[in-house]
Amino acid sequence: MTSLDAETVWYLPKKELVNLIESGTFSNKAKQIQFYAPSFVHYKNKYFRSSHNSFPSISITGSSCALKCKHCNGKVLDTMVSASTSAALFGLCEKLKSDGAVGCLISGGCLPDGSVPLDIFIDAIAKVKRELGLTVIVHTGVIDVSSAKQLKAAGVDAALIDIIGSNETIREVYNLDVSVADYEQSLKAFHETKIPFVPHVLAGLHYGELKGELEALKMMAKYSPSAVITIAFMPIRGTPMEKVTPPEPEDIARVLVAAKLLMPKTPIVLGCMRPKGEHRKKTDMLAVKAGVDAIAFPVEDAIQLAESLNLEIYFSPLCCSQIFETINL
Amino acid sequence: MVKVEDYEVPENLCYHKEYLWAKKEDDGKVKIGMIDFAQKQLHDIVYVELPSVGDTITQNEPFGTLESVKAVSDLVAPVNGTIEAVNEELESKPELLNEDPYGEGWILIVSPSNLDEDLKAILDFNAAVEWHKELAKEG
Repeated sequence: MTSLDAETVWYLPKKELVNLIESGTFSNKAKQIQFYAPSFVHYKNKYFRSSHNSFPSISITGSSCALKCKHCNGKVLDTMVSASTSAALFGLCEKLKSDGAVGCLISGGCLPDGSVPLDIFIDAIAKVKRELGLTVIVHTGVIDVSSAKQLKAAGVDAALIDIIGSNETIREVYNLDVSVADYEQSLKAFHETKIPFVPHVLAGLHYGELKGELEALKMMAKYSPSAVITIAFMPIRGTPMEKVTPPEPEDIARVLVAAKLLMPKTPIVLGCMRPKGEHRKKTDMLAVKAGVDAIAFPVEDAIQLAESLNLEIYFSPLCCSQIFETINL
Repeated sequence: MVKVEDYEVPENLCYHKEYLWAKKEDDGKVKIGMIDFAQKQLHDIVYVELPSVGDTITQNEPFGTLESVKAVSDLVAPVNGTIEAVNEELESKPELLNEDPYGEGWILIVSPSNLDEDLKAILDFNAAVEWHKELAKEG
């Protein structure tokens, strides 16, 4: 092999990729790994137990989403706490604060243009930051500079955005009439606004196949994100893609490694959405060996592996996007 | 069966605060499953990992795991005992835990080793109703 760059790794046969990962080629140089378990997923094992409502996810559109993407069909919104008016959002955050919450993820369904209508909640979000001091993460869709500036002025701690690098996937899976260029403009908007932003790449979004993920990572690399999170398509019941086979753990690891190679000074994270069961075990183990900086809701075997590799281990009740607050690469 | 808000609480069961129920059967064995509140909170359950027949479980100790869109969690035993049967259908149809938590979605059948003592440490029906009222309030 001449040089080990993201492009090379992307096209390596699976066996060669796994051999490189297993041999420690991408091992964790910081010798530490952060495990995250915010309360929007119930997580409990001998190492950590997420506390009730310490960091919930909130939908500002209830279960409504104009896109009804084929992989989600709005089902993920059903798992969030609904707060569909500014007053409801602030009231909910007040209650969360009094119940001991440290923060929340504010998300929601998309409008037909691919944006999440955060702008009409800006005053409430600013009030939550100013009066309650919660850590507030927002999940945006496609966004422009003006809206990014509003989020920055409101004091949000980080903005999350799913970046898609394939026009075909945007059209076919997201049912959305925008392009990869619009996602790049969103990254640029965050970058110019200087708001901490943590883009997500969704491995296997194109019916379980890798398509556009490398392009998405290359776009992200141009705009100095605070961290990069890899999540992976998982079949969800009641969606048009419920029978689609998810990407293999090795392909998820491929995305993680490519992200590391493209952005060596950026924390690389395996995020919360990924296939479950034995698949998750394999993915998490490969992720630790591939040297990721953080994993959300890790399997116990991966925690044990990190221990055996003498990595310093930390658990946090925050959203994994907050890794950039705790690690310097 | 009573309903506490949206959550079903059958009368003939005992309830462990780690969200499983236990039912003493006529033959002295104990059937174990997940409470309705838990399955509703967890949303679509997509994976269950269970022990094998002949294994023992220990009250308040984990014996398996489950995963859903909203959970990655240990299953914690409500009683002590030796496993007599495992609901193998859950492997291919974990959604039974959502669809019928007190029926087809049962998890284990065990021969209890110390049931009288174990039952003192978990909730009877009346206490479970009060507990569900607290759970419903917390959301």
